[in-house]
Amino acid sequence: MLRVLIRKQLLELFKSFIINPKTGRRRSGWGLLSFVALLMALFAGLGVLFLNTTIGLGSVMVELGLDWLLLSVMALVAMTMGLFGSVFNTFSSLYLPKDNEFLMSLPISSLKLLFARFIGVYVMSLLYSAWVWIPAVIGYWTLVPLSAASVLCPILMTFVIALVVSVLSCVLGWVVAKIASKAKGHSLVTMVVSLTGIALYYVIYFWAVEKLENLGQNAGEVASFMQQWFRYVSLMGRAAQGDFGAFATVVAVGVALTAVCLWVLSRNYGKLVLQNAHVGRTASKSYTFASTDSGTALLKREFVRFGANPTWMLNCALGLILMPVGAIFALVKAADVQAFMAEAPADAPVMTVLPVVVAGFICMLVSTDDIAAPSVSLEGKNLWIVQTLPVDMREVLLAKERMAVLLNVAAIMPTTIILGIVFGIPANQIVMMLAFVILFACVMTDAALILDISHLNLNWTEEVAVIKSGVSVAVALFGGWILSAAIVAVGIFASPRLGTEITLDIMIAVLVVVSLAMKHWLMPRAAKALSHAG
Amino acid sequence: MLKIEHLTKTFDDKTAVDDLSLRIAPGEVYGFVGHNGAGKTTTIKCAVGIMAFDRGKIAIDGHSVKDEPVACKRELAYIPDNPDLYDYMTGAKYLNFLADVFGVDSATREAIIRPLADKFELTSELGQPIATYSHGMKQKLAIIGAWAHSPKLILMDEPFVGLDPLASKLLKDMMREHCDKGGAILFSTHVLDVAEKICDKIAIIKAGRLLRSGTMDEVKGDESLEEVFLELVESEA
Repeated sequence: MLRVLIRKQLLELFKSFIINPKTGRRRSGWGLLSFVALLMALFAGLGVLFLNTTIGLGSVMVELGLDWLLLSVMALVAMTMGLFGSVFNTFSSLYLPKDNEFLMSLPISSLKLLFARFIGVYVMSLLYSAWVWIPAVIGYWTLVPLSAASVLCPILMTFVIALVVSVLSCVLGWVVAKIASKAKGHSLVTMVVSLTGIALYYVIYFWAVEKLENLGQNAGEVASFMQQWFRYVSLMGRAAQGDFGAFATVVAVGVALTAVCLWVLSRNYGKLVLQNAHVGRTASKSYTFASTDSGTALLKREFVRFGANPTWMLNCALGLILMPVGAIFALVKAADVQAFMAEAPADAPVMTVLPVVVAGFICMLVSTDDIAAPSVSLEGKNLWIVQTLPVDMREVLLAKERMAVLLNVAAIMPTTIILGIVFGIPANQIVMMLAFVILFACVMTDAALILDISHLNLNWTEEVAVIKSGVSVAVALFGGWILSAAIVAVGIFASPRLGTEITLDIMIAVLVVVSLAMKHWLMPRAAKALSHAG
Repeated sequence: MLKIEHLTKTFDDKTAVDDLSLRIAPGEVYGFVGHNGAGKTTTIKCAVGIMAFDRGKIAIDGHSVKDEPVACKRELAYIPDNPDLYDYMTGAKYLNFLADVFGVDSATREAIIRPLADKFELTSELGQPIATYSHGMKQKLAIIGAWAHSPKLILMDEPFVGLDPLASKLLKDMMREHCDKGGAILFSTHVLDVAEKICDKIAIIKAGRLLRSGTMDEVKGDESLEEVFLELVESEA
């Protein structure tokens, strides 16, 4: 029974990878291979960053014999990334799947059902934490002589780290489920509580990072700080280094934590599932039959469905929070930035490349707003409604695009202006940066919609399947980051040679061409395909 | 009002609808009967324009479904077999959304929606999220939504499933009234008694092929619809 449940869970998670949503048949070997290769390439692109960090940090630490500290710090980063990747969807994947009620009507214990769901959370945690940990381990291997212990232990630690992340994630998911059941379907409350929990986690994380930075080059102090405040994490470092005693302790604690977590959560799992499955009745509200035009009605519908879905908001609109946070951070550190800028000569290259680099940085944040990427798939079995409306499907897609772009513009405008002012960028260049970033947001949104339609998944039982592990989301997010990095690279290369304004002009022109091509060539085709989908 | 000519639809190697032709004139309630998997839903979906088809022509009020889909949709309403509606909206917001897109002004929607909601005893529930509705309530809301923009043609897939007897009676009356005013209705059903009572014309379909169609008298003669249906289906087996 448990095997069947776990297989079903994993199939749902990776359905779009294995099964072609258009034909409903298994992908061909080549199709699957090329798809996996694409994802591996995306992962590798960012994995290089963690590899370099490990080698940079590790060269000193390994020399001082503090291998465990290097591995502890990287384990902490891996857990942070793992939690970042899985925490937003744990509530949804544990408590909101559409088949929860059906499965609970079968002779399956809550613990078994929860365990099967937990495996899904574990796999997501594994994917995200391994993204940091595996490059870190490879970096570590370049610094130490290889032995059976130094090769095997870090690899095995990958699975332990993911286990700890899953437990942390499930605990937070449980808290959100408890609050959501009391909030009677008010998704905003659920979202605020989730964000508060995440914020608290990151406050602790940044406090630790700041402490570590303040300790400076004194590795001894760093080591004692880690042992004092992050005893378990420091044990993880030792375990990964090859200390079998530490390894046994870490595994035992991890397994015990998981067992306790599952046992406690299973006790009221059924109750919470049922409470969250049924939206509570609200006090009877008055209503009117006021009219508006069809474009506004479609746009309003997009805002209502987005606002009603905390999983979507939390997973696909992080940039809307990160952009203002980045702007506020720049304002707080404005004096330091301006002092640094004042030291640079007026004709220094940094002033030439800065506008494009800052724009590229904002584009990276915009890429984390992949609101449009799961938008069509999330219509699910409701798609027939828009398909039967007397509007061209392009209007439906336009409403989706407008919502994503409007939300992005609301965050892009203040962020770009504040960053421009703080970095002393001339006003005309700030305007060009604004135009560039907004165009980037439009192109990314259109690309995400087209990707979603080409990999449409309407028959999901867990919305997380399209929000988190959908092909369109992965490609939009990672592709956006890679594009942003390319923008920065182009800026650094081209700005000193062509000048800032010409570089920005060219980049804007390229985006205009791409945007027009999407709107007039790809979007009509996608709209036509959508009108008969399902 | 609805003209289907030589419609053929295949899924991979299975022919779901095979060279099917139908004509529904204004004022007609047209019943579509057949066993499960006979091709009723596929035909209706093709006629609504949400499923592409391989061969044939479908026209609604003179507009081709393939070439002028928006013009066709302006004239029709569709109720699927399972009313999956927007759980995140209230009933009133859902009806307002439909009315907005169909360009129904405030006064008209008040005049149509309120009386229908009262008749279906849904008025007090319209302010509640659709997620709190039962299957029957969702079906009632889908029916009100279909009638809200005064379509010429209504296509319904098993519309009586989930409705209580009172609502079923009300729907039958509404269907008759709609057609008496010059509208047309095509609906699929398994309930032969219902089809026999309210249909002006009927089509019996099996394995995607039309076995017999015409007025009720032409199709069943002196026998009951049930007897004719079983005879036809068994003779084709």
